[in-house]
Amino acid sequence: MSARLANISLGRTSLGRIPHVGSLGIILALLILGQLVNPSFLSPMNLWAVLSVSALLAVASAGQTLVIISGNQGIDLSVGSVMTLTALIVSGMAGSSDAAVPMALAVVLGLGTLIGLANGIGARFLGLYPLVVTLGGSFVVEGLGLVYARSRPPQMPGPMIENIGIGRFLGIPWLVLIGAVVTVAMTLLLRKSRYGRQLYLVGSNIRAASAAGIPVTRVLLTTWAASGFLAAFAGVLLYGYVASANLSVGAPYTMMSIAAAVIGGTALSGGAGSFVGTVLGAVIFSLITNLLIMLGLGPALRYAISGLVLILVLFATSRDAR
Amino acid sequence: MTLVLDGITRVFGPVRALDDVSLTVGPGECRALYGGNGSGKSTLAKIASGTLAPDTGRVLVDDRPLGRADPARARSLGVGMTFQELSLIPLLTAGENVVLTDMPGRAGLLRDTARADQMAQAALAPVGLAGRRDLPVSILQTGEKYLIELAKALQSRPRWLIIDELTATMHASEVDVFAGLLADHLAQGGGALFVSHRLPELRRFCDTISVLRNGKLVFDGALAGVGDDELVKWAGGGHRDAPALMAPARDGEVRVKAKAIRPLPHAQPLDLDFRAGEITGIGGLPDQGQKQVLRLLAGLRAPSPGESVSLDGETLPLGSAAAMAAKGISFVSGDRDEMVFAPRSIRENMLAPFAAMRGLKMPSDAEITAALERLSTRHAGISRPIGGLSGGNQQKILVARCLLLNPRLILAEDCTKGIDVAARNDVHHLLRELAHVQGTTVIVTSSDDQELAELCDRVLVLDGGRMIAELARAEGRLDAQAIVSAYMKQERAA
Repeated sequence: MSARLANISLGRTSLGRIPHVGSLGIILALLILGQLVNPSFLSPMNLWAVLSVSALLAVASAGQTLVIISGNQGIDLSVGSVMTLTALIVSGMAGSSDAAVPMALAVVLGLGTLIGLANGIGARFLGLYPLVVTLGGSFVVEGLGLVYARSRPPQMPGPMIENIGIGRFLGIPWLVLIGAVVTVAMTLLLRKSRYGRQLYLVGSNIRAASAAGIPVTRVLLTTWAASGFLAAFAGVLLYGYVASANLSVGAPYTMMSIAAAVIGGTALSGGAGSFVGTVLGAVIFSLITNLLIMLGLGPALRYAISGLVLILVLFATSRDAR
Repeated sequence: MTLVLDGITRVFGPVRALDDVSLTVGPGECRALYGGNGSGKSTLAKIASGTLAPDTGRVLVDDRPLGRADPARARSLGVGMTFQELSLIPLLTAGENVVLTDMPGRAGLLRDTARADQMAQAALAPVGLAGRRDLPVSILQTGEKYLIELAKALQSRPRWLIIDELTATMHASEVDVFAGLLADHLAQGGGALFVSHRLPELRRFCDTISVLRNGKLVFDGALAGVGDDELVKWAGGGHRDAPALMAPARDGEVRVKAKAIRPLPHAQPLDLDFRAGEITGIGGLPDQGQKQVLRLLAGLRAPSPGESVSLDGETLPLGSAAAMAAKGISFVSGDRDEMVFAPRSIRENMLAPFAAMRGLKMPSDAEITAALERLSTRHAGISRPIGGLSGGNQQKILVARCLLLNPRLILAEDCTKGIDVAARNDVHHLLRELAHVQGTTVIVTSSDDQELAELCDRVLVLDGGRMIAELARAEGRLDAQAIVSAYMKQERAA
C-alpha cells in the first residue's frame, strides 16, 4: 500500500488502517470512470461479466500468490501453459459429453500437481532459480500440449463444463461462486492454518525458518504442488468460459497472475501478501480491460494500454518505500 | 586541527534520533561515543563520516565543512569509518575490497592489477591478513572481516577515524591487533571516535567520552572521572547493575551426552556431557569448533559419521533442526540475519517455533507480552513488524522467545552480540534463572571471554577442535584470565 495513500487521514480515523484501501480506491475510481465513458458500464450484466472474468483470474492467481509469498525468488511462469494443457486434455478426454468429466478432472488435477511438484524439486533441490525452472518447465508443458492436441483435436465442452464457465446458479455466475469459495478457502489457509503461518516465515527468511525448526522443504514443495493444482483447476474453468481449447488459450494468464498478485500487495521479495489482495488485483486488472473494450479499442492497443496502466497502478500501490 | 560536530539534529519519521548533539575530537584523542541500544550512536557516527546528512547542525573537518551526505568528500577531507554492518562486498576478494575506492587504473579504463595487488598487500599487512588478500570476503571468519573493514578505512590514511562497534565480535587476539594500529594512529597525531558497548575496551582505548541517551548528549568529559555504575545506568536507565549470581548450579543429572563428536572435520572425536541446571560456555580462539558443537546440537549441521547425541537418554535425530526443536531444543544466535523474520510482526517472530511443531499450545498475547516484559523490551505493539526495532531490541525478542518454549536445552551462539550492557545483563539474568531455577541445560558460545567467565558455571576451551581446558566455577578456577591463558598457552606451544 502506498505510503502516500495510507497517510491520508479523514477526520480522526486514518484511512491507512482500512486494509487494501489503495486497491479499493482504484476500483472505485475505475467504476466512476467507466460509468462516465459508457452509461451501461454499471449495468448488472456488465458487472457480472467483469466479476466472472475477475474470479477466473483470481483462481488462476491463487497458486502464484502462494509461490510469491514463499519467497526465495519464487515465481511460477508455468501457470499459463498448465492452464492450456488442462483445457486441451479435458477437451480431448471428455469431449462434448459429461460422462468422462470426473475422470478427466482427476487426470488434469493430478497432472497439474505433479508439474508443480517437479517445479518445486527443481527450485529446491537442483539449486535453480524458480524463474528458470518454471520457464523451462512451461516449454515442456506446452510441447506436451501440442503433441496431445495433434492426437486429439480439441472440441467444444459438454453441458457440465460449459455451465460452470458461463452458467448461473440462483442468478449468480458459477465462476463468481467458485471464486468466492476459493477466496474463503485460501484466506483460511493463509491466516489460520499451520501451513499458512509457516509459509510467511519461510518466505520472509528461510534461514531463520530452519533455525526455528520449521520443515522448510515440506512447506516449499507443498506450495509448488498447490500452485500446479490450482493452475490446473483454473484451466478447467477457462475451458468452460471460452468454450474452446487451443494452444495459446492459457498463455496470457502467466503474466496476468503475477500482475494480480503484485497489484494486490504481495511482495515479490516474499513473506508478505494476502489472497483478498490478489482478488482485488484481479478485479482491477479486469476492470481496466473492460473499460478499454468499452472505449472501442482493438486487442493490440488494449494490450499496450493495459500494460501502461498496470505500471501506473503498481506505482501507486506497491512501490518500495525508499 | 579538530573534528567538530556542532548542534547535530536528525529526525527519522516520528523518531528524533539525534537532538542538538555537539562534540569535538582533537589530535591524539580517542573519544568514546557511548549509549544504550537505539541511543543514536551509529547515526552520529554516520553523520561524522558523511554517510548521512544531518537535518540541522554541521560537521567541520579541520575547519572545512562537510555539507551534504558525500562520503567521497569526507574521505578526501581525511575521515575514515568502519561500519558495524560492514561495507565489504562479499564476492570480491579481501584485497579488492580494501583498494576498491581508489582502484588504480590504466588510461581510466583498465585495472592495474599488479599495482592493486601491491596496494592490497600493503594495506592488509598491518592487520596481519596480507595472506588472505586473494580470498573472497564471504568465506572469511567474522573477526577477520572486521579487521579487513579496518584496513579498508585506514587505506586512505585518514586523520580522523570513526570506529562503529568494530570490536563487538572480535576475539581478544584480534582486539590486540586493533589496539596496536589505533595507538600508531593516535601517536601520529590522528584522532578517533570509538563506538562500543564494552566498558573494558572503552577504558582501555579512550580518555574522553560523550554519552548519548535517546538522542541527547547527557555527558561530555574525561572517562576517568566516570564510574562503571554510572555508565551502565546511562545505557539502560535504572537497571540492576552487575547481574547477581543466583543459587550455585545444582548437581543436576547429565542431560545431554554427546559422543564422538568432531567439532572440526579432522579433529579427534570428543565426548562431552552437559548437566541439567548448568550453564556451560564453550570458549577459545575464534573458530576452533565452538559453533560446530552448538550447531550439531541444534540440528543445523549434518553429523559426520560416528557422531551421536542423546538427550535424557533418548538418541537425537541429528541433522534436522525441525526434529531437534520438537525434542525441546531451542537455538538462538546473535547473527540476526539468520534469526529474524524482518517483515513479520513481533508476535509471529515469537511464535515461529510454535508454528513449526504440532501439538503445542500457542501462547496468548498476554504470555508474549509478559515474556518481553521480563527483558524490558521496548516496542510499540506486538503486531508491528520486528524489522522496525533497533538491533538490540530484536535480539532481546529472540531471547524472550526461548522463555515461551520452556525448552530442555538452550543453545545460545554469541546471543548478546551488539546489545548494550543493561540488555546484556537482562539476558544473563534470564539464562541463569532458566538454568538454576527451572533446571534447563544451557550451552553458550561467546567471542567475549569476560562474558563467558561472568555467565557460566563451567567453560570448556577448544583449540583446533580439541578440548584443552575445563574450568569450573565450583572449583574456583573460572575467570577471564584463566580462559585466555588456557588458549594462549596452547598457542605458544604450537
